[in-house]
Amino acid sequence: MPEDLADVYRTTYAALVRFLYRKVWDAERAADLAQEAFARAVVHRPSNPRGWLFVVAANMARDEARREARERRHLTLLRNEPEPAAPQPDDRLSAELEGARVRKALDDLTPRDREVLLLWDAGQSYDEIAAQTGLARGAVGTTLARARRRLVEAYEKGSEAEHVARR
Amino acid sequence: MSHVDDGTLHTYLDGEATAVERERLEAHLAGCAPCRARLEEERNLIERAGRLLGLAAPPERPAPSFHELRRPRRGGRYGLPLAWAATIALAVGIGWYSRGLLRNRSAVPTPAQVAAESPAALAEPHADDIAHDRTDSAPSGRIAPRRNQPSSPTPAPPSGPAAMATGAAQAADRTGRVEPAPPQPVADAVGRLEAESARPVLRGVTAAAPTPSKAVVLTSPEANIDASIHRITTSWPVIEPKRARTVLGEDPAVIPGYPIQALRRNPAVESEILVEQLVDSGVVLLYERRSDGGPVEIGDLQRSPAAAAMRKTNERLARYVRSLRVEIVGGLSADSLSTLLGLIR
Repeated sequence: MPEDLADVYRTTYAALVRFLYRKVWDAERAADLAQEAFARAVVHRPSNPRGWLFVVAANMARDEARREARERRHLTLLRNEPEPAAPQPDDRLSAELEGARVRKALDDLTPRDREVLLLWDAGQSYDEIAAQTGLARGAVGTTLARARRRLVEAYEKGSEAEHVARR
Repeated sequence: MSHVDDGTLHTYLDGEATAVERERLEAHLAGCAPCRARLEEERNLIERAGRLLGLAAPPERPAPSFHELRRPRRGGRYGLPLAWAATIALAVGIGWYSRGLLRNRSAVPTPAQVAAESPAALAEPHADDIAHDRTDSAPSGRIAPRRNQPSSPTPAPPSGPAAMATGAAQAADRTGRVEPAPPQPVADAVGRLEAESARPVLRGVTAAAPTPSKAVVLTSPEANIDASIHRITTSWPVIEPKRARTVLGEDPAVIPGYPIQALRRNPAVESEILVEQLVDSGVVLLYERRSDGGPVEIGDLQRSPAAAAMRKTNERLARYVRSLRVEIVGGLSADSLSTLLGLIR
């Protein structure tokens, strides 16, 4: 029985924003895209809304990234460092730094590993992840194990490098 | 080395193992200490990775009402769908207006005057525009339904209200709070809107009552509907908190940090109370029922299309809140509005 889209919205909107955020790294943009995805779902009425939404969201984010890469002359979202910011209160600055470090660590993963990890973190089940990524269900656990390990290792290596560089 | 591979352990720890897999693993773990240690390691790894991902998560924001997502939006970097933005902007506009009125009485034109001619000094309340009785001491008003926004939730045409809306929504959303913008643009927008619709849609009145909080009262030409709803609300008997608790079976939900103007009970519905709170220059009405009391509605007031339209507007706002129905009467700034809705959630 098809799930009422309004219910799906209630239960999945935040997760979709979270998922998109790790792709566009802009909270507002992530919210825009999530709403856009839901708006399209209203039109298309997919029989499996949750899976459909994440696929559509991933595609939208990817298309947008490509478009922006073409349009931009300079990287405003730097891969390696947080944006130079105006002086901010300490705790907010360190939170942003940490976020940037995690982001950099995520970049260390292969695209598939990252996708699986982000889908899991957005609340998708193993079955849903398998359906979306084309992995066999039995391979999802292994992929997650690898992705998690790589993420933590990359993060710790990144912090180390920063500390060394600062000296 | 280990007898169990990582994938199996993670599948198990993620709760995704089948019953058979689970039993087999647990049987093994019962007799194998090294594997138990590995399980703990992997558990910590999962937790660590989860925490790191949490550091790279967007700040939580209330989701816009589902019914605002009717159409895929055209491009644009507005943080909110236009129709929702229009709803906020109305509140924002009113909020700005009322702030302006409170602070700078001589410089700000009322919408009524904008409708009439050119901006002028603040006017006295227009007796003919006060379309409701005030049976309680604090003034309050109601956001009027707009004529050119009948039953469909789609936003008004891109000029007038949407321009005001998107500007306001953009400003509100970008900075996270409403900038203290001058009321002038709002007045212009209102003037434009009225010029376009070729009839007065909004009339502003300052309720000049001797109370600490002043609200801008906006009524529509169908003022009698506004009046009846408002009158019904303010005619409800005031009750003690203890009584409210008894009626509801629990403490009434209130917006923390704001003064409670009154608690009232619905004389027609035994299990329903109303919490009136002062927020900014407006009044927020929270209609609450016992949890087994069914959804809250404003009973028999939906006779006219205008009332139905207003209920629809209110429905949109009301959807933010799960078991409460929230009416916002009077002026609220956009950041108050979202904070408020966040708090109630």
